[in-house]
Amino acid sequence: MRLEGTIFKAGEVPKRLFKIVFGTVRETRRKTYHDLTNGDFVALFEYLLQIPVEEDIVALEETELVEVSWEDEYLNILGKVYDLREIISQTSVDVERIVLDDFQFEETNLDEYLDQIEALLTLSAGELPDDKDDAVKLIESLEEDRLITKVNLVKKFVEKFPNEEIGAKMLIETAAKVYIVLGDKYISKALLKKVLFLFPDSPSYCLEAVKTLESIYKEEGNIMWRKYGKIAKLLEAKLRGDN
Amino acid sequence: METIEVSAGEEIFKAGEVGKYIYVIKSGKVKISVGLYDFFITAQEPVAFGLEVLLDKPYTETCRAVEETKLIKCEKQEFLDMYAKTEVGKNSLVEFMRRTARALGWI
Repeated sequence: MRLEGTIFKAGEVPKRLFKIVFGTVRETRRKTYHDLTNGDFVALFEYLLQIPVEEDIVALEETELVEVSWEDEYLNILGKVYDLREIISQTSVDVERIVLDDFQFEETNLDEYLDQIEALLTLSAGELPDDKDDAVKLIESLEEDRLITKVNLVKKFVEKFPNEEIGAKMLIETAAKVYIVLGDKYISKALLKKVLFLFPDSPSYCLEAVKTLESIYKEEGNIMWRKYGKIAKLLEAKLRGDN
Repeated sequence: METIEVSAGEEIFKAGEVGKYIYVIKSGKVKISVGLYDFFITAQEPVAFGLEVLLDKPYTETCRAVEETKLIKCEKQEFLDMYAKTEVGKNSLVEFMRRTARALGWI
């Protein structure tokens, strides 16, 4: 059958198994969506477990579906579930051997990116004062309409005063503001990852950064949220141990 | 196809290993570990594990007998001929999906 729009409504338990011949179908679970294409099965998880779908499952364009039986598609179904297993191994964290690479930093150089934005918007705030307290005062005095300048000054601050934990606090606060006010996930994530790079010995700040990263990735539907969720659990356990 | 006995604590296979056999539980209890999650299966509702062998892929779970356990050990074709289209085959697929979904945080 050919259709466009809702295939299964939220709350419905799929009684039939459909395979996509062509087209795109979007499934959403835990606020994370997956787009299915040719050869994929619609609502496979809910069909197999006979549980209701969380949100409407929709064909995003004209899509052709064919009803199939699990018996005939046994190996294909198994193959699809196996593919999901691979996501688990790609996003899992070995708690015994956690390394910096587990944080999956983007390759793009953060400083270069921020410099480009600064040049583009010509919002340079000038030099950062040599006195730490004056520098903090200057940064804190900047309002939301000068957020990119604030980002740049915070970046300069952590370079100039690498041992000052207030740098971690400012990175987290600025990341949150950038996310809320500008909606720029890239800058927010980059600032938060800087906390992990520069303040690995401050688990409470790292935890705050990781938790925020988890929610940003979740919000954008990126499976990486699972990795940060696990790292957060690990840090929480470490903090409990430290206390 | 043969029935084997495994003792409590004995590892049946490990995630990452390339195996040749699928196992159907006949009696006892088996712990299945996927990532950081542990699941237990018993013979109450017979299911198979090690389905990855059907795809010629490495195991993705680590399975260990919790108590004295009897298992039917089958090769790929034997499982496809004997079990795949039966309730055991279906339950095994459903449980494989359930463990995957749990590890993905879907349930």
